Amino acid sequence: MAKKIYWQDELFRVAVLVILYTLIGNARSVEPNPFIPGAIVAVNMVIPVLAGVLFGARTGLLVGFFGALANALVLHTLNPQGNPQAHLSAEFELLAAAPHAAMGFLAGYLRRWLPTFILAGSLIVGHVLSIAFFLTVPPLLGQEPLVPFHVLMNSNLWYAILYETFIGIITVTVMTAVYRIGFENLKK
Amino acid sequence: MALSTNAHIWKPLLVIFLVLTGIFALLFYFEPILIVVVLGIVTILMCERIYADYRRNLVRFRIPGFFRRLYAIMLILSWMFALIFLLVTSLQDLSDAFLRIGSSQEEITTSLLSLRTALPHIVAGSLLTEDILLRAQAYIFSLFSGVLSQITFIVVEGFLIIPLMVYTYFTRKQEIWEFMLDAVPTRFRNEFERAALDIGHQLQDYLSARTTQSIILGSMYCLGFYIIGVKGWLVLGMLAGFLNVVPYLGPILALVAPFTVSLLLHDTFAAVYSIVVIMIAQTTDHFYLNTFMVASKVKIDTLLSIILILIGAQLLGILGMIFAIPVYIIYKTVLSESYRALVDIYDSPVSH
Repeated sequence: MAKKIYWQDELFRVAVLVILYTLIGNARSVEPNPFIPGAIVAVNMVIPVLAGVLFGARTGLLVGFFGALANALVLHTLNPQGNPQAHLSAEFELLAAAPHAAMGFLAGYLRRWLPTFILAGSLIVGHVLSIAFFLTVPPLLGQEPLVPFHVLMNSNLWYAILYETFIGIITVTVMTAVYRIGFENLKK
Repeated sequence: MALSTNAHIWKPLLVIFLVLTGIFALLFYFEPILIVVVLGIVTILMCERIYADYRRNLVRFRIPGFFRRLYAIMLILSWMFALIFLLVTSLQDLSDAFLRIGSSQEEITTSLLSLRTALPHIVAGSLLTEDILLRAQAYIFSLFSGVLSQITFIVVEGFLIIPLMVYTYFTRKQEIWEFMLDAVPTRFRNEFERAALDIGHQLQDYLSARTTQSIILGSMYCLGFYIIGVKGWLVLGMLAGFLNVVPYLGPILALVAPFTVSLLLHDTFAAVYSIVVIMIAQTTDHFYLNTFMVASKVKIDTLLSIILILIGAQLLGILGMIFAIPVYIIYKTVLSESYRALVDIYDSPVSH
């Protein structure tokens, strides 16, 4: 029988995970992506996947969407006005809200049928959807695409995505195991 | 129920107490082997838990017979790869940090003394004088080299003993149990079985609770150190989680490494916020983990546990503090079961 989830519990979980998404996205230990100069390994993308794997599709969707929005807000407001890099990152983050929501939802939806390390592969879905949004949404608003089309032909982009996905799969697998050993044991 | 005044009961109890004390004295004399055996027991408990999860996943994902071994092999290999990858990158980060601090003791001393310029004059002049800092540094270096050699010895022994312990437990558990039962005289077999099972369950609950507590705290420390930018966040976070097994002193010991490394790298933000991370983790531990995990599993009065830990600290230092509660559990169970058995023999109406 499915356990009844109280909305207060879910709200608390979403809030904590959104805060975690924002903190990890702005962590001082963030590593640069070796394949793309100036890019970082976006470890915070694992949070919506983790939310989906542990708490279900709805939580994954909410964390992905609001986490990206919250991070965009933080990047836009807490960085100096004269810092174009921060504002560009905020735009990327804003456009990534829907892809991250989809990524979290997918991980949560499939969690009954697939093991964790395969579910973590939904990170690739998030990356691909994000690139699609960066290419297509700005022209709809009368702006230049955030990612030029010719970048798609550069193999470094795909190596970078694979590298991030690889790090993300390891992180999701380890964090899921730690949560299950630790916090689920508390309920026993 | 009033205690018996029969000397026939208390004399054997005294002998049992002395034999137990002798066994523990011998175990603590061979301290590294004891630590390895305890780590082996913790490994066995974790393996049991992982195996139970694996069996559950086989049913949940309906993995057919042929693919089960493949699934197990893939899981083991991917976990080993993940842990090695994470640890190697973190150790590399930490070693780079240490190279920046200084590759020789003289350079580390210079870095340490340079910190005094950042302190208020009154603190640098009276509390943290050059002499005090140099003595503290010499003490830490000698302690560090002593601990490092002991850890090396434990790691080498661990690689030899722990896999054998795990293999023996999973293949010959029932055989060993029956051998032990056969060695006990028939008239005491029930009491022995009851005492052994009781000790086993209580120690399992205690070790599981403490291990889970350390894992949760370790993951909180790792996350916190990652966010604030402490170099070698994974290794230092895991070390801090491991040091949590030391009662009361654990958080202070956990703070030393990240705080010192950050200070020596002139990263005051990370140094200060490492204190905040430790405080947040310890608050969670005190109000949530201890209450819902350790206290519910380990049924010992708080005042008694404090006294036991202080006695352990006085007798054997940090090791005594760690093992105070488990040793108490064994003493209590063995002596109470022995007392009950002796009362049945000497004080029951039939014996009169």
